[in-house]
Amino acid sequence: MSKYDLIPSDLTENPTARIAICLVLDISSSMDGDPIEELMEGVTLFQKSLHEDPIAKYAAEVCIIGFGSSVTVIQDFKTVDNNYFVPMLSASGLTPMGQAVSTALDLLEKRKEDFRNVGVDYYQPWMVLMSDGAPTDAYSSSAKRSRSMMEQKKLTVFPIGIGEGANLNILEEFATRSAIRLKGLNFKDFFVWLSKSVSSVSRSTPGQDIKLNTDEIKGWGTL
Amino acid sequence: MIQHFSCNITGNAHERDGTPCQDKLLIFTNGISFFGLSDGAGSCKQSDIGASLTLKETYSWFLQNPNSSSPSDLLLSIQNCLDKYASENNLITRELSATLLFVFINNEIIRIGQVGDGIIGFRKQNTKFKKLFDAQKGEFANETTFVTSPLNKIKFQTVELSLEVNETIDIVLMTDGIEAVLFNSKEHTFTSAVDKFFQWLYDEPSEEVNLGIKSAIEKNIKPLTQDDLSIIGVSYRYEVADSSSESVYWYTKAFNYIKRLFNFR
Repeated sequence: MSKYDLIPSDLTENPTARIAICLVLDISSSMDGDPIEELMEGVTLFQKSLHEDPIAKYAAEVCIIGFGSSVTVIQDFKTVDNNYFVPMLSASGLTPMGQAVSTALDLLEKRKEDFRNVGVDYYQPWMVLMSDGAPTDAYSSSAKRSRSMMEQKKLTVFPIGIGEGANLNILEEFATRSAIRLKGLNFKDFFVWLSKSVSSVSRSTPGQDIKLNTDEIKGWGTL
Repeated sequence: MIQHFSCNITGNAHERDGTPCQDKLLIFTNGISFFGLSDGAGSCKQSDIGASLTLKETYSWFLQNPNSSSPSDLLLSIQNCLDKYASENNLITRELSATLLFVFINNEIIRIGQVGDGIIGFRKQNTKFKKLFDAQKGEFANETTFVTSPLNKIKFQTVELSLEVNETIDIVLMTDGIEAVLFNSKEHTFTSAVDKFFQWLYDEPSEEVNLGIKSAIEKNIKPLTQDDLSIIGVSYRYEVADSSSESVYWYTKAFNYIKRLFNFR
């Protein structure tokens, strides 16, 4: 060891700025069968891709919320540096999308507060909202809240429709960007794109504009 | 007596993209001493030039105003300099956005200032390092203010310290990339790496120290972050050579005090 050397305790732990990502997933009964299986594989692939990325694995914190017979926090925010979680999703019930988004926004606010309390820098958080239908609960207040956060640049929202039954107009109420309809059940390509986008953000330097690769969207979705 | 170390390393993100390091560093130690760091905005392609100009203009301003205790004019002077460069080179001034961290030492008087992010710490007589200012950051990791921001949005933080004869001060300046690894934001403390750097500065041959610190940062810190990494450490002891000089010191001190009292330049 050179006399000019440092040891891990000379440095802070995980200095990487974090990016909180909340996946808000429709697991209502209409998702039963292939859609839920493909969704599960896609979410697993997403976390695996982040885990294999040397920077994103320390930056990304993933939370998974399912909405079907109830709104369930399947996984609270965690990094994927040591391992990643394979979610067991089962489809049942209605589509309480409003309540799910409200839960997601509360958890994102709480996570940002945690970051502030421990002095960790963080990027604008992301919420990915995926559904094959339309909300069956009162959703307008959470849609308004989500959209307003996006307008104030406090949140990035990705509204994604699954299949022809997805109501893109309603999904767009949650965001200031157009909803994208997934081509078939192409969850894998979508989640690969998402992990690459997270990776770009985690590699950005302060002040750098982050442009998502929208050309690649054509591979898995249609506007 | 003044000793210093400095290091400026291009971050992984710029190495990967083949773009220049946006951190710049300027040091002069001829009679009066100036140490400056400037971090060009990641979103602005010419910000490395903005960072260099910001440091040069700051140094020039202090040469012209060595006794000014209110450097608010400095910002205006930097903005004029950047506006001029932008107009001569068909740019918008925002493309030259950069932060500023500086230390100016003129005998017993030390002026320290900061615009935007990064961190400055100091300690007197070997106590623990303390953070001098709160960085002006936005909520998210990629937001801060720059010397090019509107004047009413910039929090230009400055402080003037005065040393007694034979008093020592250590000062460390870091851009935000290295700050994330060497400053514990939860505990508000600098990590032991900073103490080590200064210990090396005191104990090891001066021609070796910069290379040693650079090698330690490249090996232990660079893999942990994407950003450029720049740090300056200054250890200054205010000394007066002999008793006649000491008299001059007290006369000068009294004279400077009266000047400041009446706000003379």
